[in-house]
Amino acid sequence: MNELNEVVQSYNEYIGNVAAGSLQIAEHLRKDEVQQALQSILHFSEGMSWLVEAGDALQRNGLQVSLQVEKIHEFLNEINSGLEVQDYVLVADMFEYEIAPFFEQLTKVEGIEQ
Amino acid sequence: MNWVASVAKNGEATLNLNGVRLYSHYRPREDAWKWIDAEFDETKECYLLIGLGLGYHAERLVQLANDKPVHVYYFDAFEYEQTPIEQAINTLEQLDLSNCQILIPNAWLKALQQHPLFTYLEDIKIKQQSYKKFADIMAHNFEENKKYFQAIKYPQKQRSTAYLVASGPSLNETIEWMKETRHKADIYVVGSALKMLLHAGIEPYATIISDAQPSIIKQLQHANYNGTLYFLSTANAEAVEVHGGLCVPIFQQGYPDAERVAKSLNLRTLETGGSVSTVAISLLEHLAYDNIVMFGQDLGFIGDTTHATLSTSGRKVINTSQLRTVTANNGEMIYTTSNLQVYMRWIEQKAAKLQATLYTTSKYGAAIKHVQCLTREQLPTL
Repeated sequence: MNELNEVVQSYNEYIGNVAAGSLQIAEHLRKDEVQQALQSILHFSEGMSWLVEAGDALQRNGLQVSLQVEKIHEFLNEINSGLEVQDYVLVADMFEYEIAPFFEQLTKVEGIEQ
Repeated sequence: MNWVASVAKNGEATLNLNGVRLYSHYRPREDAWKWIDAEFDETKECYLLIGLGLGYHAERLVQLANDKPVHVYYFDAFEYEQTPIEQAINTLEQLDLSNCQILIPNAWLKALQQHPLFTYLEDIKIKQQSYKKFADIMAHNFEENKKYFQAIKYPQKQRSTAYLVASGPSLNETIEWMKETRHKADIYVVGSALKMLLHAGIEPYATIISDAQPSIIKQLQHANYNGTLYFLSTANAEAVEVHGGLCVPIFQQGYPDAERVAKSLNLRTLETGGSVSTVAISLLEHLAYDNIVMFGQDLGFIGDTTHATLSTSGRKVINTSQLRTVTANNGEMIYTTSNLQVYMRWIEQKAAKLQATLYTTSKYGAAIKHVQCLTREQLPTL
């Protein structure tokens, strides 16, 4: 049970940090600091993979997870399309006006009483 | 030029050019203003903004510049029709750019990759970004390196041919060629390839470093190398400090402090070109070699390997969407990056006006105009 609660804690902490991280990525892109932004986007995409896996595990253990996996895939696809044509304004818009607000309103997972 | 105007979420007009957003589709004016606010240098006497578009950048720039002259370059009549401001210009000829800040929003560059001005603008942008990123550390290094800025005498060349060794992947093969002909040339090596050369039993005539970052310390630390070290006046001071042999500064054009010191010492300033190899070419030009043969100067790479195996630089490439392709000396297509292309264009221009003849040994490297590619058999004939 402890392990599960640890995952819940990490999951919630991560979700709580995504909005600020997204705004930072947008700011890098808007200041033409592309390399720094790309590095953070790589971390973001790894973080999203972890969130999806952790969310799956939490659900299998009977916990309520409100994060929609399809929405994450939609974000990642849109980011990829922007990066492919180097449309960094589009990518910045995504992070600032789509991804950050989405994570700001996301409900946290409630742990299990011990 | 494919312009697509639309309305942003906040009701303002926004614009795409050639499939790329020039402005945010949420708050276009606010984002454009923020960009100008972050870039604006109040110490400049005049301003040149590249791209008029809907005029969001221009309106903020004019505000900040007060009465100083502002020029806003537009590429297409469409822009002027949308934003007919008095600062708009459509030619850069006869424009006095001394002490002028050139502002190039990255979004415009990305949208204009096929435009004739693209390479010119990209060169400027890359240099600006590099300077912005390293300005503080360069100033610190310059201060620390001052102890070497006295009684400077450049060592004389011993032969008429110089080898310039960089650490591109082709060096894995051509280092063997060098072993056969090393006595026919003065060998200059960039810091990242020094240990590789020493490992192969080749003692260079001199080593050159230019990078301001501390990551280059490892190029010299524990190298057991006591030959001449040429260093750019803003090169990492700790790296210079760890070197045991003669340290000779190079003063670069365009860096006011370096220009001032060079003038006081009656020394020439050299063009940097943006990389250690381009600095080295300027140095070898200054030392008046007849032939300059480049090793490991690939300016591109096959697959995901950017540097030779034992080089102290290099990384694995993970995302090919940021890469470009160019023709190699063997006619095949290879990957390159925007930075490497800036260096390539600089070498092409330099080679066209050099007294010396410039050669490369990099069969798999980018083909450079005015630079002949030598085979292993041709190398000993120089």
